[in-house]
Order: sequence, then C-alpha cells, then structure tokens
Amino acid sequence: MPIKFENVSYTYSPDTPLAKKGLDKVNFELKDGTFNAIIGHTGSGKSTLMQHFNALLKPTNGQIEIAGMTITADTPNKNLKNLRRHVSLVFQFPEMQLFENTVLEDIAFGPKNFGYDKEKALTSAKYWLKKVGLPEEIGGRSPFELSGGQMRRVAIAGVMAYEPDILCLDEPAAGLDPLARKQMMALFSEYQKEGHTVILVTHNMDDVADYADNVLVMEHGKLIKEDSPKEIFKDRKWLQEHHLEEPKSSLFAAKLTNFKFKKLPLTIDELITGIEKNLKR
Amino acid sequence: MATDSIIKIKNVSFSYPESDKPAIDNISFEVERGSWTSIIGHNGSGKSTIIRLINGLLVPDEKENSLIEVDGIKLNDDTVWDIRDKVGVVFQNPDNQFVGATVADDVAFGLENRGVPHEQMVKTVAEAIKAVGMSEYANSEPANLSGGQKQRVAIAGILAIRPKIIVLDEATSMLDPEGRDKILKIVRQMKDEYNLTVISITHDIDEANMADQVLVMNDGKLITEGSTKTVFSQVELLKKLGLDVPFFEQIKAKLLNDSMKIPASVDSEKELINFLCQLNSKM
Repeated sequence: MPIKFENVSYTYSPDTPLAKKGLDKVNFELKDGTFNAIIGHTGSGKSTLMQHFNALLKPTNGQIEIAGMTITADTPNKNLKNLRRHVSLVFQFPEMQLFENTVLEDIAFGPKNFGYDKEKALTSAKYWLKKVGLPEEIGGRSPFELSGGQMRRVAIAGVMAYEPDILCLDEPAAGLDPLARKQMMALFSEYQKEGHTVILVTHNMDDVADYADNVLVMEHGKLIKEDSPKEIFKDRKWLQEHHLEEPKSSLFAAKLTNFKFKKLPLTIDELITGIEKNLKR
Repeated sequence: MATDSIIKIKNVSFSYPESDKPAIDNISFEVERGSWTSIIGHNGSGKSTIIRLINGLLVPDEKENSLIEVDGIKLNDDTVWDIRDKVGVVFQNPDNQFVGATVADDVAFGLENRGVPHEQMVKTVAEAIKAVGMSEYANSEPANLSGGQKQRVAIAGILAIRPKIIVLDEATSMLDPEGRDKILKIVRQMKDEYNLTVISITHDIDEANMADQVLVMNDGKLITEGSTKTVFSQVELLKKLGLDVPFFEQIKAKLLNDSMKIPASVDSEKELINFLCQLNSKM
C-alpha cells in the first residue's frame, strides 16, 4: 500500500505567539519498495516531515495513509505501536540511543519489543550485526567501548533487526568515513531491493543520484518539487535559485563547455561514458 | 622540514589500556606556524587520538626520544595547562559542547575558567561573537540555533581564549553544504587575521583540499604526508585505505584506465577540464 500524504500541515506551538508552520499543505504518494530522498535546506521541514511517517508528530490538518493506518490530528496514541513496528525512524546520531550492556542485547531490543521471542531476537541480532559489517566478536562487548562509526552501525542494525517495511533515515551516513558511508548506502539500497521502502533525508546529492528513484524537495515547510533525480537535476537554474547543490558529475559535465551530453550525466560512470563518446566522433 | 614549527611530534606511540595494538604507532611530524594541516584516515585510524595527545588529554607510552612540543614548550605534567591554552578544539557534535544558557555565556565560559576580569571578558566575548557573525544571537539560547550556528558559537568560544592552534575535529561533518562552507570561510578569515595554525580532521575531500599539508593515517601509522597535490594524486593508495580522492582525480584515473593518454602535468580540476576541452576541439 502506498504512503499517501493529503494536504498535511503541521504547526508547532499552535494558538500561541510562538506558533510556527512546520509543514504547509504537503501532498504526495510514495510507491511501495521505492527509494525516496528528501532534500532541502536546514529548517526546510525535512525532519518535521520525517517525524510524521511514524506519527511522532501528527498532522495539525490533513491526513496520512501509511502501513494500513490513517493518521489525522485526532488519531489516539494507543494504536501507534503497531505502526512503529512497520515504520521505523533512524534519527541523526542514533548512537546516542544505545543503552544495553552488550552490542547484541542492544540490537535485540527492538525485535523483542515488537514481540520476537528471546531466541529469535538474538538470531536476528546476530544476522544484522554481520549485515552492517561488524565482526562477530564485538557482539559481547559494551556498545560504549566502540568507535563512533561502529556505534552508528550497531544503532542502525538495531532498527533493521525487526525488518520494518518502511525505513526512514535522517542523514544516516553523516560523519562516517567514505568507505563506511558507501557500505551503509549499499546496505540501505539492498534493503530496498529486497522489497522495503526507504526514505532518506540527505544533503549528499551524489547519494541522491546514485540511489534514489524519487526525490522530494522541501522549502519553508512546502513540498516544492517531486520527481526523479534525472528531472530534478536537469534544471540548473532552478537548483541555484533554491540553493541546492548538484551531483559532482553533472557539475563537472557543465564545465566541459564544448562537450555535448545527450543526457545529463548524474553518476561518474555516466560522465566517463559521455566524455568518451564526445571524443570518439 | 618546516622552518618555524609550532607543533613537533617525534617518535610518539600510544596504546589504550587493555588493547594489544597501539592506537598510535611511532609517529613523527611537524606543523608549520600559520599553516593549514588536514589529517585524513578512516574511522578508528588514530586521527582524534593524535589531537588528544597534543593537548595532553592522553599521555603517550613511555619511550625514549619521544617528544611532543607545542609552540616551543615541551609537553609534560607541568606544562599541560599552558599547552591547552594554545590549542582549541571544535568537536563534531555541537550539542555536546555547550555549557552556557546563552550564546554569550557559553563563549565566556573559557574566560571565566581562566579568571579573566569581567570588564575585559565582556569586551572579548563581544568581539569573538562578532567575528563569527553571531552578534544578533548573543542572548539566544544555544539550543534554538541551527547546527551551523552552533558550530560558529563553538568557534567563538575558542577564539575568545586566543589560542595559537585551532583544531577542527570533524567539525563540519554534521552541517549542510552551506553551513559547512560558512564555517570554513570563517576559520580561514580567523587564521589569516590572527596567524592561527589550523588542523582539520575531516572526511570531506573538499575541506581536506584547503590544506597546505595533508597527513594520511591508517591503523595508527602515518602512511604518507605532503602537499594536497602529492597526496591526492596517489589514487590507488587512498582507495586501498578506503578514503576519498578529489573528484577530478577519480575521473582522471578512470580515463587513464580506459587507455586515454593524459600528461602527468594535468594535476588540478581546471587543468583536466582545459585538457579535455582542447582534446575535444581537435576532434
């Protein structure tokens, strides 16, 4: 079932002098099993939007259909646990939410919380520990003895271990080294290809070009554009007007002034192919 | 080596307790006064450990001939506080380094600690906040600022104590591209104005590229060092270490790999673009 936002608005501190619009009449539909990127400035409403996917925030107006539920301003908190089993949110710095005695116990906490028996939770924890690229032997160590990058992986494994249908990630790779970043992005991409929906908030336009099927552009709480990366990055002038960066490959292509690219290269391989085609005439 | 070295590290090793492998393995390097040095390496390669050794938060393994010298002072138990006055560190997560209830209080913290008279403190704080472009937020609560603004306040707090060296420990990694550019611009201005020495630990290749000198770390060892051009042209080595290379070097490597002939003198993005455009006009 697709995720559907209908006229969703959210106001922080409504009816007070501090009232501030977080989301303003947002409409979109995300297909199952797609990789979606949300881009936009700091303060554009990306994180506010993210928090609506599992009803940490509920719309002030409008409604959301997600994972078989309809969320409105009046939705009681009572039934949200089931929603959160299907839709999980990874915040920035997820490593700050680690708390168990051992790495494996920490990863197994989510599955246990959502009804896995102890053994099954542990099996899942072991599987995901490996999946996020951590060696088996750290499973018994305290998560607080690990490096920052390792802690991040443990936290992400903990969310993936109960295999939510919809995985929402807020800048999950920020602060990781380039190799770890690539591994993480490959992990999310693989998870999507296995049939899950991935929603990623990011500032990294190369990741958008490499992985996303669909891009949502936020500005001042409004959804100002929704399209494929190809269409989003096509209009250079529009990107500049909205202070958005471009993928490195299309930027480089633009500097090759006497080259003609049939289609705008968004990834390095497309760029290389394009350059070689020009030189082969 | 450097003619006027503000930092001298010689034969320094460090092992965390209960670890059989040293986190820093017999490292030596120097940093020239007023220069910009980038340290790159994957997570856990020892980059941050070096900084903690330089400002005495960690004590190196006992070894003969090992030396850490900052601004002409040899680091030991008696000098550690003098050295910490000279080295200011901006960390990755701005939320972890706030103590004050307002921006101005927070910037004043380091001065209060050092017993600076109130009158002078007020002046210094205002100057430091102005230098990072945050004057209109002097009385704001740090919690209400954006990540980039928080990092600017953190830098102001460091500028206020007039260090000789400012260390950016992945200080821009959580910021959006605009926030990052602004921080780097401010640091560059401060560097020029106060003749600061900058050390930046970063995964961001563009940030690393701003340096005069690049140090590459792997598993506690200093693998290579040199100018950005010398270091970043070693594409294979950097890839092997899991590090990024500047974008134009990636393109160049791929084109060379497809047997295009590119002269060795093409060693910047601009030259690569010129070279390709010329080649194309000859076709």
